[in-house]
Amino acid sequence: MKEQLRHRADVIGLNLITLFLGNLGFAQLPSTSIDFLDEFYLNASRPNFSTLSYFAPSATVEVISYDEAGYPRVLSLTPKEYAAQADTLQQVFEVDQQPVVILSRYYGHLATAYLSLYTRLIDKETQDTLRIRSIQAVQLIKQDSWKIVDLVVQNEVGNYPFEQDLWPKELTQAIPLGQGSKNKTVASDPKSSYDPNKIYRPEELDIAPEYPGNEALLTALLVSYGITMEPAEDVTPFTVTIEEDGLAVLAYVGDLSGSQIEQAKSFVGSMLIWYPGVKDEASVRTKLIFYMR
Amino acid sequence: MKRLAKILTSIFLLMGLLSSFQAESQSNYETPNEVISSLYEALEAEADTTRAQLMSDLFIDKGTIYTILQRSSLSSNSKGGGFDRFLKGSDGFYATHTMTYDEIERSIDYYVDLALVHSLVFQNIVEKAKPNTTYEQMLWFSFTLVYQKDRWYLTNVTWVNAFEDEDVNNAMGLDTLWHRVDE
Repeated sequence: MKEQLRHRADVIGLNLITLFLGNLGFAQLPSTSIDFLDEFYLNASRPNFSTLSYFAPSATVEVISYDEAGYPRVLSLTPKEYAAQADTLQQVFEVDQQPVVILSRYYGHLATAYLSLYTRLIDKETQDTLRIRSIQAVQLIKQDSWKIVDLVVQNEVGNYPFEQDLWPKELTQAIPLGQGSKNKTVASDPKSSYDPNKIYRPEELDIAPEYPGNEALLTALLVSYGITMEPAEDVTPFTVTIEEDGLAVLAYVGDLSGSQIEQAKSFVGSMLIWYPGVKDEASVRTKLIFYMR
Repeated sequence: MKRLAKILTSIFLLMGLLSSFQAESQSNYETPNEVISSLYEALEAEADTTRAQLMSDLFIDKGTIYTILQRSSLSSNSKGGGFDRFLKGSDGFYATHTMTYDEIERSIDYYVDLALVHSLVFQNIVEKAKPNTTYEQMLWFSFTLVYQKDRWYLTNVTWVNAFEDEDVNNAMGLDTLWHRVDE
């Protein structure tokens, strides 16, 4: 049973610790939009979860990712595309998703939320586990019921720590982060020699990035797009960066034609979240080279 | 880091910022604040082409606008979708009315390349055919922005009008839900 506390800002002069000690008085403050959102995140990883029922049909989902040079690129998804991505993820992983702090504002039938989210992905086959956290912004409108009209996902970026109010020690000290086995996390060593800004080649790493599931899954994806990882005479190279959080981002496409770039985008967009490369016990960014016929 | 340093965690603006909105019309949108100010400028633009040009510059390709007409705490009517849909749907109203916006208060939450902005604004509407006929109301705006291509873009703007049952200033208050999370 997860512990839950809530607080409306007009109850001033109470800090987090005070609320922990005496929270019962606030437990029933009404806020249906925040309850709706809380339910969305907590139930999202359960079987037969109906993602689409939480979104307005015209809603959009934006995921912020980064290219090889570290520049942000925004991927826009429809609710249907977002649901398909979530389904694909759940085929390979047990997904455990928990909101940590939800900061919500509402007036009439408009509500917004700015929240921190903890996500644990456990490979169903190997039990390897990836623990990540993100900040998300949500806009909701109440029609017959609350619906999400816009959701933006910003995964944690290494050099930008979460603020204490979104990741309070009191709530999160039991959560390890990074990659490891189901019950054990390999923690990053702050004194390690890896460079968080560098994009490594696989041969420079202690552990190269791994595509989730079995090898056949990646092979099938490569075949379906006519892409290979082996250089040959009649192929054109392009690169994909596997970010520290495992997201794949299309990087160098300088030798591809316009239609090939579109195909490469689709290829990368179809990828599941990788296990990122590891250097000195820390997840790092890695450059992979692919070739298109 | 320089970019982030330019963003203030919470900015409270007093009335009378209209002139600064106009001064920022040539902005490079290096901060969310510049985008928000330009959005109000776009909403004030009388010419359809100007409004369309400004908005297409401010939003990402699939950016959205939702508007909520709140009649009471229980009754509302909302419309929305792509910002181009808003432009088409509001042409008729702009043909017969002019609008001005005076922002009163703004707050920003942000992390790296994501920002969520809230704003209270005073809207003044004048009928072109009867310049003495004006309508005034308070609106609560909510904006989501993302940073890419060296500038900030809007992904979504949603607003709701003040209604009698509840003080619109409550909109800027914060409701917080905490979870203690475990493996």
